[in-house]
Amino acid sequence: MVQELVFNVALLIFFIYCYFYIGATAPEPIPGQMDGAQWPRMLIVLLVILLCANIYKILKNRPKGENFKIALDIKGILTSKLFIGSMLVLVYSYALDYIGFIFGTIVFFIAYSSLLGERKISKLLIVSVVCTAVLYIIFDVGLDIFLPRGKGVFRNIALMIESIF
Amino acid sequence: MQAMEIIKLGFEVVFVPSTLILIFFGTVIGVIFGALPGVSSTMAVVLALTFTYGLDPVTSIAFLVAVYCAAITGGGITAVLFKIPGTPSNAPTTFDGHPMAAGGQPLKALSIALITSALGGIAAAILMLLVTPQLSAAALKFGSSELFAISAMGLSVLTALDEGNTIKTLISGLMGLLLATVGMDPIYGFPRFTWGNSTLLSGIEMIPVMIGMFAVTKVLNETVERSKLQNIDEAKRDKIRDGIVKLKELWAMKGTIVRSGILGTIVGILPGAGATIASFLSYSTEVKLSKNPGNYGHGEPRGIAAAETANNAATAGSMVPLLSLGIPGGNAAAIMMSALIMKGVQMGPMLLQRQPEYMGSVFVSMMFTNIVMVFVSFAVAKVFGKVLSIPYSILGTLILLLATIGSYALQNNTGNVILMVIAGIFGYAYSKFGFNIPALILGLVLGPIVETNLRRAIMLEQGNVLAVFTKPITAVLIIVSIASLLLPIVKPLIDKKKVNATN
Repeated sequence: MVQELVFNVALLIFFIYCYFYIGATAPEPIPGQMDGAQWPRMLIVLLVILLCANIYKILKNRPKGENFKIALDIKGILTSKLFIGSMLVLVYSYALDYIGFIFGTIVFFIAYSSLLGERKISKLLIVSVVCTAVLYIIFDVGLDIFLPRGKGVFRNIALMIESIF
Repeated sequence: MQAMEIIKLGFEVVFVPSTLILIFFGTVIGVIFGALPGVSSTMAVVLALTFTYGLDPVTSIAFLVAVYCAAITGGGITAVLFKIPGTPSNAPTTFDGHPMAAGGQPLKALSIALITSALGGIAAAILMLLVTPQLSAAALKFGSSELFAISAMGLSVLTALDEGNTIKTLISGLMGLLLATVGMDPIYGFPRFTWGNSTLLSGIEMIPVMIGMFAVTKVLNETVERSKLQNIDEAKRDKIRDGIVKLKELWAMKGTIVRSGILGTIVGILPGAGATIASFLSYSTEVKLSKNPGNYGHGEPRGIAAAETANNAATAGSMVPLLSLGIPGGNAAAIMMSALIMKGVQMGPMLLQRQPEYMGSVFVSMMFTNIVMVFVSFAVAKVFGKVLSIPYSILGTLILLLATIGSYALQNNTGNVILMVIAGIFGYAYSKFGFNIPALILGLVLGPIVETNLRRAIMLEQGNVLAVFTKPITAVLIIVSIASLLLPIVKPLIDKKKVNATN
């Protein structure tokens, strides 16, 4: 419940900030027209009202006698599957431009499948290479979607593989 | 030109061995693309464009139409089996399709989805052929205020999406509308909510956000707590109750199928309102009309039929403005239009007058595809059923990779992949705290249409807001929208009052 409350309050603060931010960048309104800031502001006002109602609902429905304590378990967060999974996907998406689709995908496949509980390393290695090859052939070779090649040595290897097909 | 002559022309174009093979191929790849989580029907059409480069324009449109229809239907497979809508328009299919499949009747759920999808497509194709001139003439008369009112009607389903959770569903829909304002202002052309970032100038790309919120969020959920995907395995299948839906059972749903088919076709015709709105609107209409609305969301067959009939009917509907006016009814239709323009075809009202074979080939291709795709889909579904035996440690990672490629292929840049991941992580928190992802997506899709048309309508009336809302068609549509939005909120209060009064 505390996490939900924090999430709602964070959204509320962000939207209040957005209400003023849009006004700071919008040009002067023209009479007889709805200017570009009015529509987002209308939405934000409604959002703020509804978020306040939701926060009130959370507070009202909290179990009697419960105190709000925000105990940050940094170690717990860092070792949670959610955090590791999110980080893996995030790092993979950023790394694609640098290490390319082929290497990035093989490494990501092994890492994420391990996180999902696959323990046999030999199986993981084979499946990751096969899946990467199949996806590459379908999309890059078959459908002409130029998947990221990466930079430096990764790019050279990708070009070499492309020349095979 | 008479309908029969158009059909004859269509048969002459389509019933040639090479074209038939192409349409069959289009149906197969359409179903597969649609069934792949993260490959939308629009993306399927984009990917299929590559195959049309060597074809003549009439055959190209017949082929692309086959891919489009089949992709929408294929998306129902993953919606039922994995609770991941293959295309956004299959999102309402997950509400009842997956619970029914998880409850031991995957074959029945799938057959309802596929057969009603085909019925919707066929009925809408006939409707398209018969009423194209009349409906397109009516759509042409719609101004900005009417278009605003129509998109507002699409938004009015928000409160029906999760009736016990109205506040959070409304917040979700509004957040979608707000997200749609990111980027250049559509009228004045100044940046909004970009914080100086040039990537944000073109706005939030819808497809990566949808892929992230449906596919990535789902895999993250399963990473933390494995559950749903393992529910539908052979061991849990109820072999006595499960089986292909019977004719009698389909007959019992005739009202739903007819209503959804008509609604889907009409929504498909309206510019900007496509298969996604059609399926949501149709689903919520059925919930509202039902004597037992509580059954919906727990494996109600009519819920599956409503969503699947409407989304496929909308594909035929979206072809009406494209063929008669040269206005695309949706994203996929816009891609088809650009493919035809690329081949030198002059789009517009004269197209049907001078080259009626386009209409004929689209109609015959749709009829053929809708019949063939039922069989193709069952075959693909069987393969996807086998996919369930793959350990989730492999399948989950594969879904993420397909989602990555789907986002990347959109503009060949990793920026969309990063957006997809962020949307996926946000979507996880969002759904964990009870907010509604389909509502956010609905807001995001409709946002630009609602805002642009409202502002244009006010501008045309020189700032007189009252004049905008008192136009007859607009007023009626707005009243219907407000009633539809408020009904799920007011109805429980009235029921509660009634119970209190009887006590």
